Amino acid sequence: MGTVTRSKTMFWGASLLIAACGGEDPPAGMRVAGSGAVGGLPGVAGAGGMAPPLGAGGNANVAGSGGGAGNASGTAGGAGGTGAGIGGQAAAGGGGMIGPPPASCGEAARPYQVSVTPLDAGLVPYSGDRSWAGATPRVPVAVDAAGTWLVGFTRQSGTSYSAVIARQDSMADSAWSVPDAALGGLTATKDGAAALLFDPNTMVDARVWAAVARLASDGSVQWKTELFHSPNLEDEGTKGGASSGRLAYVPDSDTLFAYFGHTQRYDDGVRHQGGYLASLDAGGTQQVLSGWFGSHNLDQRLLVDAARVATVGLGDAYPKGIFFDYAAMRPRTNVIYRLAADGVGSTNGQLGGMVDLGSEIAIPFITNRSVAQDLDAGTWPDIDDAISM
Amino acid sequence: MGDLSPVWLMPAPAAGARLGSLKAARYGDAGLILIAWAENTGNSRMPSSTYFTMVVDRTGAVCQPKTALPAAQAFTPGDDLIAHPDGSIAWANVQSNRIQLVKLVP
Repeated sequence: MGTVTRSKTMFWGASLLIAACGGEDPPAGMRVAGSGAVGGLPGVAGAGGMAPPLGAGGNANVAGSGGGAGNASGTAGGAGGTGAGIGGQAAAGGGGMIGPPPASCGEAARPYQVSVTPLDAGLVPYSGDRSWAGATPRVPVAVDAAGTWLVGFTRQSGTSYSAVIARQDSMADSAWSVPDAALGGLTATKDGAAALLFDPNTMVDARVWAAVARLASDGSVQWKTELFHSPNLEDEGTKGGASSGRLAYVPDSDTLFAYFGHTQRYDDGVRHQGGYLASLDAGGTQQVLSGWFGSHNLDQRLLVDAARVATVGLGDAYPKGIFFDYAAMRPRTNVIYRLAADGVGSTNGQLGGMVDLGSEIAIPFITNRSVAQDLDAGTWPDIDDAISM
Repeated sequence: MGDLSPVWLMPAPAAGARLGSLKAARYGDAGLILIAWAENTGNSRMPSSTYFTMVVDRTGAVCQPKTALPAAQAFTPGDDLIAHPDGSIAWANVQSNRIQLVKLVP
């Protein structure tokens, strides 16, 4: 497990990342303290490359979670940490400048308290199946402009599905709903919320559209914009297979950003998998920033950094590893940490999000350090199965 | 850009456990990071996960040690920890078909 942090003031400058060693055999002495200066220009990995199709879901090495039943509520006092910690109010969301570190981080880290609040029992999420992103439902959370927590999920009713956004105190019949859609992402806006929507076809590979809907504070749909909608998945250039995405909102510009994995049919007759990144203005007009951002793009994260949006992706081919850029027209797949990958849907790592530390962005990830990160199984379709396995 | 230099953490997973579902959020106002992850055992038919947190600073120093979360406070693999302007951090899970909002206050 580790974290990399990346300077925001020097775009290509020194960065700090925190990483975590994964797997069964953490090597001794794996903690490598300190951040390294990164010199030179960014490597532009992945332009023009394509990787083969993936199976349903497309996430690499993401272990399922069991999540057994338990008590409805509880409190876990944070172990460690001592005393008063840091006073004053917490920083809002992200951002905010960090002062000099306290004498000991243990003094700064107050023990936490945890509470669990069940939502209305009528708000039942569709739990999926093995062919639809695993059996664990997605329940993304957002906080609106009034400070109210929102929870999103996909609801099944007979043979139809809807994307639902519920407030903490919503009843089943008062939650906001967008019919005939699966929820792919959730964010709050200055006057309501927005949802990344996918074709609710339970076979991910068969999905033919993706969309974004913006909802007013009363739950009404202000607009719904299709990012793409393919008549079929056979014609060259058709997009489909939307999965594993994120949606973010920049209040300053009243703009939404959608970032997710999808597939596209190429002239080799194969549906390849890659990333899709677009912005939508206040009126719902889409600007495609990249219709092919990383290939494969196995997992995605967004972080609103003041007026900008930071993106990270996880690639197994073009490129291999964790790549970063700010969302803009034709973003680059700048690799910030190389990971071993097999080019057919697996990498030696998982993303862990992004954290705004003020002057830096921390990018936690998991990897198994007993595997050489330059291990290369070749380029599809010439994959060395002995290595890939 | 090239590789950045990671700060490696030592979550010390249980024997045979695989790390997964890594999450992170800013913790408090002193530049600390809440790290949360699952340790998975078993197989696809009989999976079992245990959830943990740890608070670190940007150098990787451990400010709060690895702490297990009760099962009711589990998180899902595909979603993020979200920070509230008041400093609290939340996520949701599903227990017995019921959605639960989990709030952590530093």
